[in-house]
This record gives sequence, structure tokens and C-alpha cells, in this order.
Amino acid sequence: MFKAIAKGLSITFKHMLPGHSTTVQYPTVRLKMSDRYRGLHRLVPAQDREKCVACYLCPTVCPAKCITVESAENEKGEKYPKVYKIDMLRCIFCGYCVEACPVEALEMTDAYELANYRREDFEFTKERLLK
Amino acid sequence: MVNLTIDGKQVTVSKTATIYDAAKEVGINIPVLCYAKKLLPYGACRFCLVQVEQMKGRLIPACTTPVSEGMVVTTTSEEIQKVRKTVMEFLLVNHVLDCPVCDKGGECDLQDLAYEFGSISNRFEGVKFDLPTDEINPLIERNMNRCVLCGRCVRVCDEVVGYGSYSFINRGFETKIATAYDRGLNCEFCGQCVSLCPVGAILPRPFKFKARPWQIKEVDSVCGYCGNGCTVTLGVLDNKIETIRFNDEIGVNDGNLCIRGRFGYAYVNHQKRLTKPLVRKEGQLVEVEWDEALQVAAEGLSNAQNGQGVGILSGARLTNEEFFLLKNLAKTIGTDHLDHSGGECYKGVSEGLNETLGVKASTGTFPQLESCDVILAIRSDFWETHPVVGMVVNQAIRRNDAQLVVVADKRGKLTKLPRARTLLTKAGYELSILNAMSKVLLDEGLAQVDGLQNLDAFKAALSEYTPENVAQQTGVDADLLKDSARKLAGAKKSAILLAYGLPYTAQSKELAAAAANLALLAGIPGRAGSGLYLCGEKANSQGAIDLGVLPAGNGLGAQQMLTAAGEGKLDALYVIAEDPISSYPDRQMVEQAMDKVGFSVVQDLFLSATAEKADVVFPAASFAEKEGTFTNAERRIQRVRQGIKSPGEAKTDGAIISALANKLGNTLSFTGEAAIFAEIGKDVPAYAEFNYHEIGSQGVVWGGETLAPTRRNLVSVSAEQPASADYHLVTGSALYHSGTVSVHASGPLAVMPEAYVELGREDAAALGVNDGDLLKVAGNGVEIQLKAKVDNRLPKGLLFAPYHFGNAGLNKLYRGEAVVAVSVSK
Amino acid sequence: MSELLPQNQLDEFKAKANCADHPQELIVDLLRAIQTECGWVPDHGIDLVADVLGVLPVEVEEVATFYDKIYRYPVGKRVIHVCDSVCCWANGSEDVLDHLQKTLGINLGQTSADGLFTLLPTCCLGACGEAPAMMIGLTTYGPLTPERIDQVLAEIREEAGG
Repeated sequence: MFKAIAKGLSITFKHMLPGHSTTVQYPTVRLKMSDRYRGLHRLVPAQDREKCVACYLCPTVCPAKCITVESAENEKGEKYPKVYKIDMLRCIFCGYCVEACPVEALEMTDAYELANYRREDFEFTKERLLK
Repeated sequence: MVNLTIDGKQVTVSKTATIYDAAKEVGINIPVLCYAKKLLPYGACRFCLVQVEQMKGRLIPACTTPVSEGMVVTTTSEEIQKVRKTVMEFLLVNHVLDCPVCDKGGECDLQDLAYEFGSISNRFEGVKFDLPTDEINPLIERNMNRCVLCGRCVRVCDEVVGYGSYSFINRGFETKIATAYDRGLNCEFCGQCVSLCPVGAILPRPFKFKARPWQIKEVDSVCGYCGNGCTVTLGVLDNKIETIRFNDEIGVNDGNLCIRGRFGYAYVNHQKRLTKPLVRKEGQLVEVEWDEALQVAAEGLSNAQNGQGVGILSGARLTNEEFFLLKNLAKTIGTDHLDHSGGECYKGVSEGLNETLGVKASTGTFPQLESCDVILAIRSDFWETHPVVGMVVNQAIRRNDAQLVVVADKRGKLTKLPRARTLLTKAGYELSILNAMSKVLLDEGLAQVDGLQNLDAFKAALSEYTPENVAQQTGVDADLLKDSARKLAGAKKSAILLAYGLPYTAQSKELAAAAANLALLAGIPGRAGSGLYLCGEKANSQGAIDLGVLPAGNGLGAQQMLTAAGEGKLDALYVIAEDPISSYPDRQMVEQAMDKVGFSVVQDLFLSATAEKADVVFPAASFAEKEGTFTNAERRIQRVRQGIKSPGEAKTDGAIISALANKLGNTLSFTGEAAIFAEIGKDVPAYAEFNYHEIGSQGVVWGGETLAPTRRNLVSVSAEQPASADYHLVTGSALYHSGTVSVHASGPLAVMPEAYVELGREDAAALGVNDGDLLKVAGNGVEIQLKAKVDNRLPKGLLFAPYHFGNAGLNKLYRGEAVVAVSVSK
Repeated sequence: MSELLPQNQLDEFKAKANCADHPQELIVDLLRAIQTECGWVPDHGIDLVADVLGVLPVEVEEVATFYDKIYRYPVGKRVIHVCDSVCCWANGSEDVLDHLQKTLGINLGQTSADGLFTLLPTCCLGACGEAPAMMIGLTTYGPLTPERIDQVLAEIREEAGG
């Protein structure tokens, strides 16, 4: 019986040794997120504009209705999103928007530190999403 | 009738039906691209291929193959699907895949079919089209890269609109739809091609990139412009009308619209709409709260009524329910001076038809027009005032070989229709020609004289109107006139068309009576399928007459009211949804009335020229912001539905009138439009048989499809001799505008931005005038300047100027005569 | 518009159009008459046809652009139509075309510097038995070899020169 207890405790103490911890010392240490992680959205830029063509598929598919798009015509006669906003307070990070995008203009990054002090700061405009 | 079997289901259809029609009857959907309900079968897309037991060995296009007895049809099988999928692959070889930026995405037939067939790859390779888009006009954009060559635009423009802008050019892979010389689209912009394009090749420009189809809320209402009563489906996004949607399933218009209906909606969203009531304080109109404005108006009106009286002048774009409330208000105020729209122009219906036929409305319905054998149109402007009825006439000609006879002083769209016969008269002589035609019928014994009253007196009165005399006077060929009269009398089903409106006030009663006389002699009134159509210019002109928004007893009519006000014999004017200063004949008279009258209230969408002179201005709501019913020119009562909220504090005319009546001590109130409609039935027996909530998508026609005349009385009318001069000016309606409201709508304005005077090439050459030059036109002691528009529509010596643009001051010159004698100089 | 068609021909067509049930049937004849006179059909030629027959210009344009032997842009005095359909292609029409382009120094759709020849592709001439074939004016030539082509061109040059 003592043998069994000693064996068990040895496993426990082994985990206490350096290098065996599953938690990290956040914020000094940060984990690398998986490639499939669904964090903050990013609008993919093209050469001189965003890749997004304002097709309205993402606001249509969004179950949380957190995406606002307003399309317009630019000087070249192309369709572009005059307004592109995501309300992160409503977003459930399901990734449907990324899946729906026909031109791969939207992706999800590994950024997860989205806490903020003011409500307005959770509204991600086109400019913020393009960064 | 023919019996056949489709996918195991027994169908019985008429022998003119196609397999596609028969399948639709039993709810079997065959995929199509080129088929459209209102067009003739074409068979361009080859999607509708089906198998027919009796025609083994090949696939048969369902949309072009007529049914035959005992046919056994299979609409889906592995083989058919395979072929259809291949057709889809062929189409997608050079079709650009820009669905994300194509406004059609979401309601595109090609997209739907590609999805249905699961076409995700293509066995064939080809070059994608890279043609430039046609953006030379402001309303319709054509992107031929997306075209699938179904030919619907080509066919609708030819078969329905009768314009013929499009055709296929080149051949093979290079085939495309082009306009003449491929110079881009420049047409009458009815947008029928936009409606029918199954893909995103033809799109409305004002709606470009505005929204996706699925975001749009659709509200079926009735167009607020002319008396045609077309159903328009408002495309609403965020409380704003963004577009007019295509819907050919409902309404009397089969989905057909004109430029005003399709592109003229923008005035509703206009920034200059009135949003708050205005009251004049120290000479300035200032914004006040509703209660104050109503109080001022109520006091002013009741004071005036205690003095020399109040005149109420309404436009004809109020709903029937609002007209009813207005009549109540007139009773509350205690005035008999109540009238609508112009005052003189509708007398053709209220007096001309009443004296001859005993009815105050058109006797037929528009759908009947399509099967008429002979159609007599008085004035070529009928297409301009009622374009969608014009399209019905065009179909009567093309589908049913109808003979069109146009009595007109100028050429126009109607006279260009196939086999159209034009009796081109000197301006102002239409009445003489109608009288001469009546005389021909009587002299040749073709007239149906049984039961006609006053026949002898009528015959005697016509003695001067021999075809030869009239021919000499008007320049019309006498033989042509005689033959046209004979044709009209010989037809089984025939129709006479006449439009009335503000620019057509001269002799309106006499002209209508002459038309009714001719109709009686030709046996038209009361005969099934035939009709005499007197069509009002405004959306609810007929409703105003039905409800009796007319001077009662000793009440003054519109013109008399204004004259009386100008002479200081009337103390107040209440003007609703009308801008008399801009649109009524004789501007000086109207201006004087507004200046001299002690107190005036104007209720309108915009701060019109008339409203600027008012003491109180109420902001009203447009047709898209209210519920109710309109009665169109063929007596069809249709529901108007609210699509958006009014801007600011604007209220519907009905709400304003009710509030004003309450202020004046009338405690009567109604719970909604249905209650008022029921109340209308008590006053107007013809409306009593209908229930507001049961008015369906096709509306209801009071008096039946063919309205039976209650008397058959010939009324002798004689023509006035128009003044003689080198140049004659006639006014009228232009195709792109309706009344004065459309000059606030960006669509019509983009095509016709300003007033003009039109003259023939011959006159232009004689005067040395080019298109766009400024012309001085002087008549009735007034001179105005207008831009010249030169074409070959007008005969020598005739000028035409549309009346819509108040700022051009045409009504300073025009005082209600048929023809204004003018002098013209550069 | 008289430079497009002599007055007598114009009158003749007008008379025909007046008694025709479907004036459209005369479109090709009129276009060909104009082409014989001018060498090609300019925009005002289309207008003239539309005017004479009482049809819409776009209807005339439809016919004019459908037939590749009605020219809607200026061409040389003689137009060489080289067949590029299946039979001719299988029998070496590509070589024929190469040879023509080299000899005349022009590409497809162009006109030679002397203004004599325009080279155009055409679909089947109905001369499959003589593939590869070409058509100049109303005469078809085939089966073509480089030598035969040179000979034909020389003949036409001589004819035009003399």
C-alpha cells in the first residue's frame, strides 16, 4: 500500500518539476495558437485596396448579426465596402463569415486579447480590421 | 381542349398552350432562361428540353412545342438532366464569374440553375468575355459579359414596348446584344429589359451596388403617377425606397412599367421634402409644431368661412379615403367650393360622358383593349400620358392584328406602331375629325342608331362636318378619314382612347362628348370587349370623380375659385397636393389669387411655388407612405400600401385633414382605411359591393368589366376655331414626366432635366435654330425663353412644350387654349 | 445619300419595298447593292436601308453583321475568305493561311498595303470536296497549295492592274 502511495506521489511531484507545467506565466509567456484558431478577424488587403468586394455574404451568414457592410462604387467603377464593421461584443467567433467569403478577403487571426474598457472600442472598423 | 400526360399526371389545357404551360398548370417546374410569360415562345436557351413519347429519339423544347392530344411527356430523367447540365456548361464557358459583385446575385436565374444542376466544373474551355460595359445613359447599365443571349430584352423591347432598341449582332461566339451601331442604349428607359433580364447583364444604375436582393423588403403598392394604376413593388431597405422590383404575377400591368414607374421613385427620398409644418410669421415661413399650425389653419379657415368663404382645391393623387375625409372637412367648414386638379380638364368625364352615356367613367377595362380589332386614339400624346396602356395597344396590334387609328396633330410613339394609321390634323381640330367620322357613319348607314336620343338634332348639327370640308380645314385625307370611320364601325370589338389632364383643358367636355357620340354610333358603349376610355392624368383622377370631389350646388370650380380669390371674392384657399402656380393654365391668374387671398393653406411634399405664397404649409406624405385605395382610369380600385415612414413630422393627407377637421369641431373619427372605405360605400353605391380587405392583387373593378351606359344621348358639339398664326404652340405631357412631382425625381430628371420647346426640322431650318439653342417664344402678350429641341415629329408651324417644369413659366403663355398662337425668334 | 446607290437602283428598291409583304426580305439585296457600289457598308448605308425599307436600323445591323460577306468596315478591292472549318482544317488550311499571310505581308483581318487584298477567315464555303479552299469575290479556289495560291493572286493582280 505504501508502495502504491509513493508511486502515486512520485508522479505528482514529477509534475511539479520545471518543464512539466501545463499552464504558462501569462502575460510574460504566451502560447502559440493553433493555425485553426478563430481569433480576431482580419480583412486581407490587395495591392491598393481591400480584397473584399462587398458581396454581403458574411453579414448574411452571420448568426450573431454582428457584421455591417455598406457597398459603394469606387473611382474605377468597382464594388468596394464603404463601411465594414464587426461588433466584437456580439461576435461568437464561429468563422462562418470566413467560410462564406467567395474571394478569401476575410480571415481569422490568432489574436485573442480583445478585452477593452469602452464599448466603442469593440467596434472594429474597416481600418482596424485591415491592420 | 387537349389532354396529355406529364410525368404521369393528367393535364387538360387549351390547344394553344405549350408543353411548358401545361406542366406549369400541374405544378411541374421546367427550368427555363429565355421563356417569359408575356413574350412569344422563342426557344433560345435549350434548358427546357423534355422527352415526348410520340417524338422519340430527340429531346423537345417544352417552351416552343404546342401540346397535342395524348402526348406523354417526361420532364426529368437522367438523360435530360445530363443534357441540361451540358447546356449549362456551354453557357458557363465564357460567362464571367463575378457573382460577388453582380447585383443580380441572389435572384439570378443562371445562378439558380447552376446551383440546381451542381455545375461546379466545366469540361469545355474558352475565353471569358471581356466587353466594355455600356454606361452611356444614367439609368440602365448593360454588361454584355454576363449575357446569356436569351433574347428577352430584344423581344420585350419589340413585342411589348414597341421601341426596338436591341438586336443580336455578329454571329457564333461573338454574338452579342447591341443597340443600333453598338453605340449604347439611348431609349425611352422604361426598364422593361431590366425586369426581364434573367442574369445581371442589364441592371438599373440608380440601384447599383446598393443592396442584395434578399435584404430588400418588398411592398406591393400602386404607382402614384398616372391613371394607369400599375402595380409597383417597392424595394425598401432601411426605411428608404431603393428600387422598384419586377413582379409580373400581380397587377393590371403584367409587370410592365414606364420610366416614371420604374425610375421615378426618387422624389420620395428627396432631401427637400417638407418635414415640419410652416406658418407665416412677420412675412416669413417658419417651422412650428403641428398643433400650432393646425390651430392657425383652423382659425384662418373658419374666419374666412364667416367672411366670403373658403375654396378647397385638391390634387388627384390623394387616396379615395382621403378624398372622403376631404369632403367631410368641406362639410365641416361649410363650403361648397371644392374641386380637384385643374377644374376644366376632367369635364370630359364628369359632364361630357355624363350627358351622352350617363356614366362618369371609362366603359371598358385595359385587359380588354388587347383583343380589340380597331383602336382609335385621340391625340398621339396618349402614349406619353399613359405609357403602359400604350404597351397594351402595341400588343393588340402585334398579337391580334388590331388596326390603330391615331387622330393627332403630331407624330409620336403611337403613330410609329406597326400599321398605325395617322390622321394628321392641324393642331386643335381633333373634334372636327371626330364629328366628321360620326357624319360618315350616319351618311353611309353604318351607324347603330337604335335607341339613340337626339338623333335628328345631331344629324342637323353635323351638316357642316362633311369629310371634304373637314379635310380642307384640317389637312387630313378625306378618304382616309372615311375609311377609318368605316373600320371603326365594322369592328366587332373596338376602343376609343382619350387622355385628359392639366395640359389638355381646352374643350375637354366637347371633345369627350364628340368621342362618346362616335362611340355610340359605332356601338361601342356597353358592348362586351369594346370600350370608350377616358383616362385621367393622375393616379386617382377617377376616384376624385367617383367620390365627387367636385363643386357642389353653387360651389365654384377650380378656375372660378382662383379667379374669385384674385378678385377678392374668396377669403381663403386650401390647396392640397397641387402646385397651381407651376402647372395650372394662366399663371398670372393663379399668382394673383394666391397674392390677393386673405388666408391660404397649402399641403404638399415640397415647398412648391404655391406653398411659398401660403400662410400655412403642411408637410404631406407621398404615395409610398400611406395606406388606402386608388381608382385607376378603368375604374379599378386597388390597394396602396405603406412602404416607408414619412420623413420628419410629415403626415398623410388623410391624417392632416382629420386633424384639421377635429380642430374645426368635427368629432367624427375613423379607425383606419377599411372603416373609411366602408363609409364611402354609403355615399358611392358603386363602391358598396367591395370590402377593403378583400381587394386582391388585381384590384376590383366597379361597374363590371363593361360598364353599361344609362342613357344613349347624342350631344351636338362644335369645334372652336383655333387662332391663326405662323406658329402654334401646344402643350402636353412628356413621356418622362407626370405632373410636377416627377421634376423632383432623379430618374426622369436624368433623362429630361429641363423644359424645352420642340419644333420640326423644317421650322428649325427656316429659323436657323439648332438643338439646344435658346428660343424666344411669345404669345398672349408674354415672352418666355426655352431651349429648342429639333426633330421630325412635328409638322411645319407647330411647336410643342411639355408643361411639367414650373420654373420655365410655360403657363404664363398657356391659358387653357387648345392652341396658343405664338411668334418665335432666336 | 445618293453616293451610296444610284438613283435608279434606289427607286427600284423603293418600289419593291412598297409591294413587299415583309420588306425585311430585301435587306440583304440592298446591302449587297450598296456594297457593290461602295465596297463596304458604312453606317449611313445601314440608315439608308432602314429608311428605304421602313425598318429599324438595328434590324438591318443584325443582318449586316450576321453575314461575314457583308463588310461593315472598309476592305480592300478583293477580299480573300479562307475557310477555317473542319474539312479544310484537316486538309491544311492553317498552312494556306500562313502562306497567304506571308505572301501578302498582312495578318487576318488586315488589308494589304496596296489596298488590293483583305484577308478574312470564313466558316464552311461548301467546298469541302476541294479542301483546303478559299473564296475571292464569288469564285472558290481549291484544293490549295502554295503554288496554286501564288498563281491565283498573280492572276488577280494582273486583272486589277490591267
